[in-house]
Amino acid sequence: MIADRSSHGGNSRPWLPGEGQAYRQLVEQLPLVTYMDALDDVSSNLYTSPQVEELLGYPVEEWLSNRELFVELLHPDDRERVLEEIHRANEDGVSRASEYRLIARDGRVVWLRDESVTVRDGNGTPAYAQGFLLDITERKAVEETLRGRERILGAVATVAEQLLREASWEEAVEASLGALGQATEADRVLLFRNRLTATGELRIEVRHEWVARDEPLVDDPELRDTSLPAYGLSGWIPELAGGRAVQGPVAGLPDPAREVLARRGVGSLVVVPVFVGGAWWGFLLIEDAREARAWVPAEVDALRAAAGIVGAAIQRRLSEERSRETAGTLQAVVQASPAAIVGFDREGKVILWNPAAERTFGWAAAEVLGAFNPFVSEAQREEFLGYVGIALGGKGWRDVEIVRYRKDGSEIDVRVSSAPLRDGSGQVVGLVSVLADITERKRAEAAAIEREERFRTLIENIPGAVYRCAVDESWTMEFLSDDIEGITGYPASDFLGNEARTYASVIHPDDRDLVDGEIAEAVARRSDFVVEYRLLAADGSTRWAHEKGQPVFGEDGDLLWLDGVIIDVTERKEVEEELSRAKALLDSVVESIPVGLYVKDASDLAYVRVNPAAEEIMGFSEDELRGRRSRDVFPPELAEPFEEWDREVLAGRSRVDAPEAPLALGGGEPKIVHTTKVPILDAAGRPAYLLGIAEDVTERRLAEQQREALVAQLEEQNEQLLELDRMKDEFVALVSHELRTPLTSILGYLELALEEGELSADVQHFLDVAQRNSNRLLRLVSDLLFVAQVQAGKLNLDTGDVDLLRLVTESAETALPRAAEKSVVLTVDAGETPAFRGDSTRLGQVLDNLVSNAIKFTPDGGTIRVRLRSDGSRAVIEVEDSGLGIPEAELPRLFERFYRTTTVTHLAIQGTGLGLPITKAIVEAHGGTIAVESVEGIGATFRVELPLAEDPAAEAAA
Amino acid sequence: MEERGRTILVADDDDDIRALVTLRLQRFGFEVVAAADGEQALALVRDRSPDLAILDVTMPGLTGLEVTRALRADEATKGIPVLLLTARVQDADLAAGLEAGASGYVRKPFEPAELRARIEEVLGAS
Repeated sequence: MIADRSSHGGNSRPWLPGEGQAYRQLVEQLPLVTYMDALDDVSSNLYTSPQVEELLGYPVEEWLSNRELFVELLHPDDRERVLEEIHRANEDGVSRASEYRLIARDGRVVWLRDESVTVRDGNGTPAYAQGFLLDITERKAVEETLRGRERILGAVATVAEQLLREASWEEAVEASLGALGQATEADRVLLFRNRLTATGELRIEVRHEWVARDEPLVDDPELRDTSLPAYGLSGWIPELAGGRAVQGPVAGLPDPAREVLARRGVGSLVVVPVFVGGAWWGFLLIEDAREARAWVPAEVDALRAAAGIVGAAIQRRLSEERSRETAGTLQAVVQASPAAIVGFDREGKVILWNPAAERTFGWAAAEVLGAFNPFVSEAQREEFLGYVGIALGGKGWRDVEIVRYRKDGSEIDVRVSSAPLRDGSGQVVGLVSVLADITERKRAEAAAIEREERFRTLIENIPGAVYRCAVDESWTMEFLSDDIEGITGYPASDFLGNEARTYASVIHPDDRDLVDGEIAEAVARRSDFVVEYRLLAADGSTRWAHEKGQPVFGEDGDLLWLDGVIIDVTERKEVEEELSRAKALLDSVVESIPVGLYVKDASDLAYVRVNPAAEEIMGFSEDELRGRRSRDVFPPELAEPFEEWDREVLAGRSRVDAPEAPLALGGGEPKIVHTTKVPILDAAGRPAYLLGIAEDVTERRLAEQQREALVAQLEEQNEQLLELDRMKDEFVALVSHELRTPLTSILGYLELALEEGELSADVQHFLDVAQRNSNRLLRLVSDLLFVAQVQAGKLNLDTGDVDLLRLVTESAETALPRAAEKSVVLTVDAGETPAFRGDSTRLGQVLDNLVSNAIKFTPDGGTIRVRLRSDGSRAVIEVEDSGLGIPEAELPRLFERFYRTTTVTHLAIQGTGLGLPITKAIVEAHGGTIAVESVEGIGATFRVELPLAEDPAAEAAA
Repeated sequence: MEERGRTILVADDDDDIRALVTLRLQRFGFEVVAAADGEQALALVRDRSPDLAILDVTMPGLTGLEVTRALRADEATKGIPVLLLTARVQDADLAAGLEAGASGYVRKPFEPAELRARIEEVLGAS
């Protein structure tokens, strides 16, 4: 949640400058000039959009640098007024709209509409003004022209009315001239009359005059009898006699007219001829002090029409009798009028309808004469009769703008001037009205206004929901545009008057205090506010709102409501948050990873960033490194290769792994550093930075070295052990062989000796003992050799069909004599077992070992039971004795080589300690298991299990 | 069973064993030709063409295995069966003897009965 403090005091029109690039682009596309002025002592210009150059010819730079430019360009007639308006607006801090003229660089007069608002700073002090300038020159020109013509037409109507009514000739003429003078905003209007002398010279004399403010000239004897050639104006005579007007600036006149007129302060003039009865009677001279005064054709035409009316009036006055001729003249005047002239009787029926009225309203005179006023609607009847009543009361009126109707039913805007119509006795009998069609001007005005409105709409039609709400806990909406539905998913109608929900209820609970606080502050300092907060949308999502608003106060200073706009900025916020999260994550990673990271500027290879791990490696802090190069902190022999790598990386635009080397950086112990350097490219693919990734691998490399040394040592030891083992096996085999050779002779010759018949009993016994011990020695040698073979993994089975029952029986039979010697009962409980593949000799050895062990450890008179059974998948051989048993603690070691139990040792029972290991090796070579259960003092049972399905040979081959 | 007229060559570098085997074979009724090493054995076999050669494996000079191979390689002697009489009783040693072309072996020390049975086996089959 971020309250945009930098734009606090920003204004409710978000299009203004300072609102970001998008808005700026928008305003610089608009067909108007936007600006921002600081409200400091000199009102310096802070921003002016570039359109100003096209409009006024002065580029933006001049507006920004020349504070006086605006005042200099203000039209002199507008300057005082406009500066006063601006000053007042800035003082009061209110919005301002004014229309004025500026003089463009090329001398054009440009009419501008200038609207601005005052923006306050955080303290509520007016800080600057933001506004726009709209070129309304065209509209002004249209208005001026149309207004001028209307004014003159109005004056013509007055002239007509004055002269035709003819209450007093003198009075009427002077009123007519005054009407013309005012309508044309002239300074003086003179009526000259021609007079031919006896010699045929054309003399002129002034007869009537209207003056705006100067001294009258009408009594000037000079003008009572003079001539145009006397002023060098001979050239006017054919023009005026030909019915044409003369107009232009005084400066363009010949002397002495120019001199005389200039002395009187006349800048420009118009002269229109007056004809009476078809003859050139004289002329109207209209003077204007303004040299630059442009006399538009419409004005001149109107003046000529007025002159025509004056002429008609003179003719009528010249006439001795008020006759039909006079009526005819009157009719002629009315007919000639370019404005619609219509007369009504006391009942509102038409009694006069001139051709201009026919053109204006569409009805021919014949259609409407005697009928009720046709151009008022039913609804306007009473109103019209009201006007008639006013006229009957003897009063007229001027320049009333009103809507009337044409014959085709269309509306027409007219400007009406009316006067009571009197009969010969002065009795009011009706009214006469002159109506000017102002539809065109209205339309032009409407178009101009519409154009302005369009711009204003464009400006104000920013995406977002516009609202007016009460300052209460609910933010009760008095108005809320439909755009709110696009933001929240709820229709605007939901919020109006809290119909379905309050606006406060859709503000995220965590943000409500912030919104309340910002608005309360804004209300307190009476300025705008900007606040960004989250909205809970209908679909359950969270949207970010950017709200700009302002409190509105009544005239008495009471807080009325808030006006503002709510914009959906979720997308922008999400991007911002994502960026901020990503940046925070990256920062924390960079700060905390145990890998040194540093960044150098590609241009000068100076350090820009160094993370803590890199500080550790380099022995300098980031502050010490920032802005410095390697050569500034490290000795040349280190720095030079560093920078060489840097340049290599930047030139190749690809990563480089620097060779690992022990470096004594920062004066500490040498470290082994592994560095990877990566170029960071800008958008154009040029290297902008260099990223160094430096890892202190000292400990790792040390550990690796130690480990390698240890491994080598172990391998060596292992090799030695293996060698020893091999030597042992070979030794055993050799010993076995070398022992067998003498044993062969011993046993062979003992046998030969025993075969001799004539031996004494003693000799016989001695030889038996020698033979028994020789056999024992042979068994020991064989067992040793067997164990050596097993150890060396060289135990080969001579596989064939095995008949376990036979092996068990034979083994028992062989042992019987020894059992009998000790009075040990040996029983066999064996059944047929399926034949299986195995080494009969070795398995016989197993049985012999187990049975002979049992006899060995069974005291005299004991029992040994040999059992054999099978369950189809395995054969189980058990040899149970009632012997000494085996201490439980010694059971686990029973099958170890050369292991002799305490019992065996204690009782000095003969044995090598090889019988059970050999037994176990044979059983396991057949895929079987051997186990022993024993209770000390009760006996022991050895159990061998052999898998019947197993074929050891096949298994070995597999 | 008397074995008149049949000759067996016995080769062993151990004088005691050579005399023991010779005595046993003579008691079995065989004619015995004795050799004290491999070369002698080979020469006597070629000279006398015995019915059987019983060779010690570990002899100086030519070993029993080498003599066996030499006999097998010679057309004149390849039909004479060989029994190896050996103290090297490890499986690999025994296999090597058979591979060299011996018909069988007898482990030292030997039982007279076993020796006779082996001889009868070999001679009966030949």
